[in-house]
Amino acid sequence: MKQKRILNALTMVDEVFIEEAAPGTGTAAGLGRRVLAVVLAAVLALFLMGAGVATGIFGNSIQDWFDYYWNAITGQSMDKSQSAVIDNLSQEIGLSQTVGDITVTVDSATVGDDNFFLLLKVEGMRFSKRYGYTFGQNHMTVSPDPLEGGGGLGGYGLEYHGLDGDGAIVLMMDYEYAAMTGYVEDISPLEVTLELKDLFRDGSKRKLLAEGEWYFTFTLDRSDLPEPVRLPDSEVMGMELEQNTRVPLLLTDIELTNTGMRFCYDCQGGTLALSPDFFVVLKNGLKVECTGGTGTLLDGGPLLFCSYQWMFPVDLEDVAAIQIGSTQIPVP
Amino acid sequence: MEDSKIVALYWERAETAIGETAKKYGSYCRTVAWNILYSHEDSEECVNDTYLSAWHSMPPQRPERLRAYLGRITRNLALDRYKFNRTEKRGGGRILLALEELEECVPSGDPERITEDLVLTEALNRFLADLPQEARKIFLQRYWYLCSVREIADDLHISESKVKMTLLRSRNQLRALLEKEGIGI
Repeated sequence: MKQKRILNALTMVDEVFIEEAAPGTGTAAGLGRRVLAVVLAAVLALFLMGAGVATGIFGNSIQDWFDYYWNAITGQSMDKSQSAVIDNLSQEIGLSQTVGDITVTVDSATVGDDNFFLLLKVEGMRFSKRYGYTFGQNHMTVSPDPLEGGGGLGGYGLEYHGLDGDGAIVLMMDYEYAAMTGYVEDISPLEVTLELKDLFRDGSKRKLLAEGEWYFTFTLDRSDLPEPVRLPDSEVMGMELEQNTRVPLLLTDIELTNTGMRFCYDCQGGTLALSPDFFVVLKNGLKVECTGGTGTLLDGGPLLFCSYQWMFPVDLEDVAAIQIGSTQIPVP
Repeated sequence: MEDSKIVALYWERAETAIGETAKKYGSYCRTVAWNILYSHEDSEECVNDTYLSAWHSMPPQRPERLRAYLGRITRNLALDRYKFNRTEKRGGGRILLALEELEECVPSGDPERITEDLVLTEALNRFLADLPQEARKIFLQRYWYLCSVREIADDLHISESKVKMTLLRSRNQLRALLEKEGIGI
């Protein structure tokens, strides 16, 4: 009786606490102990779900940030080819705006075919490692809008990643999309506007720290994006959602990029789905998980066009295979 | 994809909602189910049932915290399945062990004076709100997510002895709070 009541009572505790305590959202201090072959799944949460991990180690640019995380996971420095890929995709922005005591800086960006990451910093107050921080509202627009006209699905998110060595808040913003027209190469500059409103201490005791609006406009250069690697149509195992049975799915138009992959498959009106376990397998055995993806029906037809992003940009020369569920697609 | 967008897909009755949920929270739900059932097959079925339940509950629900919402569904489904299986092998023992620990800190009550679960939940919420963040995480990872002490230590990068000590202190605080408020079970 006692146990049943405890179970019932615990089940109903506040969702804020449940979310806060979710395994995998702790600090990353010990991750460096893990061996090279470890799957990076657990770190996915640290990467884009936010965790106070950057204290005292984090450098000054988005490249340093990727380098830091690579180090934390593998216990090794990122090799030169990998660093070169991230360098090539990254660009400095260096825009700051001060409102009251708080200075927000859009530091740098790493730009892929259909996604990008922004590194933001916030200074001007004494921040604590005990808490997370966020803005009350954030709004971003991009132009040309890849979803304009045809439609599709896209989104962006802002995540807290800890304090840097100077005590500044480090935030990462990511943007991704899948257009109903499929991927259409566009190397014109991407005009971005970013509005942030009111700085909060986050968590169960959320508190307004500073009122204000910070507004930025800047341009991302897309003129030098590497060519994707095209892979042959491949069959992987998927799931028939109504009968809950495993079925083969044919992926077509597969393109692998430094930051992710895209492909199409016939989802049979949404009754078929792929395994959520997506990895890029490097030649050294390391598996890099995707951070998520977006899918939309291609021109309203039966084909679902999907775009998935890796947690790190990867050197395509180092990629051995793509793994979806238990199926590996070799990369020549 | 942002949670609000995933929830919007459910409201639009777009089947991609399930795929997006699986991509973002599949691993999380599997962990919640695995910690209770310790069976890949049962956990996988539980997670699939979670997606189905989410599909049927949104609309009308529009959860503000999708992760916790899904976690709660998975946990309830897994506990139901656990009760059904009622096996002592592997995961079965783990749940009982965690609950027995927690049971010790709850005062015995008059069987005739059965306290409403809601009152206990409210007390637990107040208790959790007053705990330091790390202690709160440890408490919930042990008694909500049913993680082992070792798993909590690994996840939070602290020693197992610190986890045990923090749990002991938290249970004592909870016992004191429940005694003070006259809540018995």
